Amino acid sequence: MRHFGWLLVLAFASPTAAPAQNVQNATLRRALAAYDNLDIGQAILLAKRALTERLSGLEQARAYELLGFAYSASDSLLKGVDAFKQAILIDPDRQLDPAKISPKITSSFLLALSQVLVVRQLQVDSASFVGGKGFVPIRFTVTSPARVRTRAVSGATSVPIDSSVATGQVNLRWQAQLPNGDPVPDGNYLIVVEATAGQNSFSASQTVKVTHGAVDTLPHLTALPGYAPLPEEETPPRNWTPLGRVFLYTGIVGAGTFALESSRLGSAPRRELAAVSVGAILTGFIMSLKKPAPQPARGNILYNRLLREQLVRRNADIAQQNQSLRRQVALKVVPLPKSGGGGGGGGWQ
Amino acid sequence: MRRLVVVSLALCVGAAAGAGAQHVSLGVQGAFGDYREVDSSLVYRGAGIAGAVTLFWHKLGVDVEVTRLSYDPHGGGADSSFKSTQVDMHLRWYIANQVSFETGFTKRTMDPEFAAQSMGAVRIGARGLYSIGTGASLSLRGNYLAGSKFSGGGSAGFGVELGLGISVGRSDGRLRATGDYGFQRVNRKRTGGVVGGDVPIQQSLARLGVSVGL
Repeated sequence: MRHFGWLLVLAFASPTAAPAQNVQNATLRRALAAYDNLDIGQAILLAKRALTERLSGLEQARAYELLGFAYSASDSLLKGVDAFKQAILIDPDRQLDPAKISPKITSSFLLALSQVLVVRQLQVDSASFVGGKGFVPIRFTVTSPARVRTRAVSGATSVPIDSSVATGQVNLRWQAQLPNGDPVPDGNYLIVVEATAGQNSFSASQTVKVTHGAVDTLPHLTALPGYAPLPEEETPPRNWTPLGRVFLYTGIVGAGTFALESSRLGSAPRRELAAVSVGAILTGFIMSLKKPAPQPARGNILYNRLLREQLVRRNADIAQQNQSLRRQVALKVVPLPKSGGGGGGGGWQ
Repeated sequence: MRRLVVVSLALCVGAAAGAGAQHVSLGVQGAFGDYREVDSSLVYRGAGIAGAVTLFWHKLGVDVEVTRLSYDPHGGGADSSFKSTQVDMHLRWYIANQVSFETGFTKRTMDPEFAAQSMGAVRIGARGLYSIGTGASLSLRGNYLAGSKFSGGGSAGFGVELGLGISVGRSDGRLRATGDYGFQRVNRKRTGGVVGGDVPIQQSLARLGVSVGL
């Protein structure tokens, strides 16, 4: 029955084991092979022997993790937790996939995590924003309650980002500003997260590159979108008003002349009136046939004036906005790839 | 009266020299007319020339027209020809809706002096000037002729003048064809113990020509 349990544990555990060919150390490779062959005792023996040999950091973490797996599988839970603690302290970002690892091993790993103080999975996102109007998201996990101080360091410059007591997932917003509110100078910055609890402390860091750029200014408007100026002159439709008006006025003058003529002086020939009237009627007729001259469209003129005033006002606003934009700095923050494993010393409670 | 005409013309020309070019125009016209006096036996018809100076500045406008006609008897009892020189001055003040208040004078002298009645009067009335298309305008004028004086003496209680004008040409007013009709009717009352009551005087005058804007 005990062997059946081991088989079950190992059946879950084996997928996590990385391929042995990535491991340089021969003893560690043999230990991994023994674990794969369910020879737990041999695996523990070889893993311990490998740890006495010269190993890289990742290989050390791998050896301790193998011990954690092996001890947990052989029901030596305390030893398993201790081995996992060592693995976590060497490689804080190391984690197990609960879907692929047996609950027994996973619980040992989580117990180990809760007993050490580390800052895990420090992540700084890329961001582009105008200085003072945006932020860089920073995320990390603190495995146990601690005073966590976060700062950005570049040469002699150290800009505090946050200081608080925290545990678990922590989300911060860095505005990339100096204490006086100015944007930080461009260059490489080390985002350092330090967690301290009693005598234990741990720090993690991530390098980011901050570059400065000019803020885009707004172009001046030549027209208001959706509003087109209207023609300021309109040609009225052709009509017979000129001829009608000529007939009316010549009629008035003719009737007046007729009424004012003295009967004692006889009937006047009225050739003078006829000559001017014919000229006027002819002119009226031609003017009625001619295309009328464009007339100022008062409504359109007022509309266009309003439009021009709006345009001037909008451009004045844009000029004012541009003036303040030119004083601003566009910041681009990009995290740089990590050169090595997690850092910092620490201990466990 | 002649001095008044000379002074008026001098004022117009002087103002024309000082004013903007578009506000002054000079015109020359052919004129023909019909003149009647006393009764239907004294009928004259004639033709001649006319000249006009027009000035307008803001709401103020001035026209001075000089017309010289040679009248000949046209049937009836008239037997002698005469020459008529008529000076008209129109001083206008624009009121509203194309209507202007108008005043001025008319002075008509005959040569020989007593071939017909010379007369002078002050005019008071209104003129409407209406656009009937690009560069075309029509004017309508009505005046009361007050304070009439006649070479043969007497006065007129009733005197009236009607006018119709047409002007067409370039919209900038540089060159225009003009036509003007004027009808005057005056009822002269004899004085000095002469019997006969009113003596009507009536003149129809047409002027056709061109004007040039300066």
